[in-house]
Amino acid sequence: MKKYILSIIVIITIISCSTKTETKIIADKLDIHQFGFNYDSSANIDAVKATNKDLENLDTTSYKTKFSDTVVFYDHEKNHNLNWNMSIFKNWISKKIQPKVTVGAIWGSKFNYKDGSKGDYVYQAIKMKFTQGIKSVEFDDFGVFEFKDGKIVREWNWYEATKLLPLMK
Amino acid sequence: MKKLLLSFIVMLFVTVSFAQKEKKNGTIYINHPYIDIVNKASKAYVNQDLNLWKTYYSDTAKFWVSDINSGKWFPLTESITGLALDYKFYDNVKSTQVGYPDYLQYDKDNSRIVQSWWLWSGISKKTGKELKIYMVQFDTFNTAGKIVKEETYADFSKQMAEEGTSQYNN
Repeated sequence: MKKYILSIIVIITIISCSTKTETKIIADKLDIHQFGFNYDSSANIDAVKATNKDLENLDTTSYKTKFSDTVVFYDHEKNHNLNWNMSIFKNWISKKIQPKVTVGAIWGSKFNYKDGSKGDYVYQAIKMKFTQGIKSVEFDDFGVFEFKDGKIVREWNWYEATKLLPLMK
Repeated sequence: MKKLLLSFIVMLFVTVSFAQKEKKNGTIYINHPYIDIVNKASKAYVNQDLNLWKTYYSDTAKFWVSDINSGKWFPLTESITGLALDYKFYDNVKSTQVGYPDYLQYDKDNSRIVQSWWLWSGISKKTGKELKIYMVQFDTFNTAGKIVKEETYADFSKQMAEEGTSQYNN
């Protein structure tokens, strides 16, 4: 039995090492102008998809778990903190505004900077729809999410800010 | 001992499973001729040289701008008309790069895309006030090195309202 278990460990170790070898080969092939890779599936991409669901469910508790306590939101030339974002959630809830997120495209990028630091980002293009009774508004949004240690530390958004105003009155 | 070994195996399985969840699909370049083309096109626009600007695009290039034209793509000719309106309604039109652009070469369909970040600014001829618009732009290239698709996300509502363009979709 012990031999059997040890054999499994050896096999798994070989598989793990194979993955690292492949990564090493890719790194060796880098020319000076290559500095990162794109991903179409990752835990961070899943986390951003989960924030979309949290938005739709107006689940502030679950939403907050995806962000670092010191996260910064960059929104139309202004920087905001997590409390600011939570206040927006509360406004939606108090005004009975129901968000709906439709993802057009989502991908991840990992960068290796010259100074040795690394960047880990997820990008998504979405259509946001907000419904309040019989009224609804729709707009396009592009979001960039920077991750560190599995949490979003910075988020940027490009969208038409005034679209939601009629529902916020 | 058996329990310890089994725990180790479980840990290894979990680690390997999570490690393999990430699926690479392309390479990012910090310098590339296509990045230079996007920068040149922006420079031509700022210099109000739309004849030069259009040389960086395929004749059949399509454009998409967030919340404009009801989400429909529009052709090069309409884009030129829209850009010319910027000069008509704004002085000192600038397009300043924010951060640095990336060239993304995707394995799937061998797509070639430059993503770039900009701050558009102009002084309204009507009000004298400066308007600033943060933009993110995606330019897709064909094998001949021409831009075939351009998608832009930004809040253009104030600019479109000032220019009175029919493209603005309320």
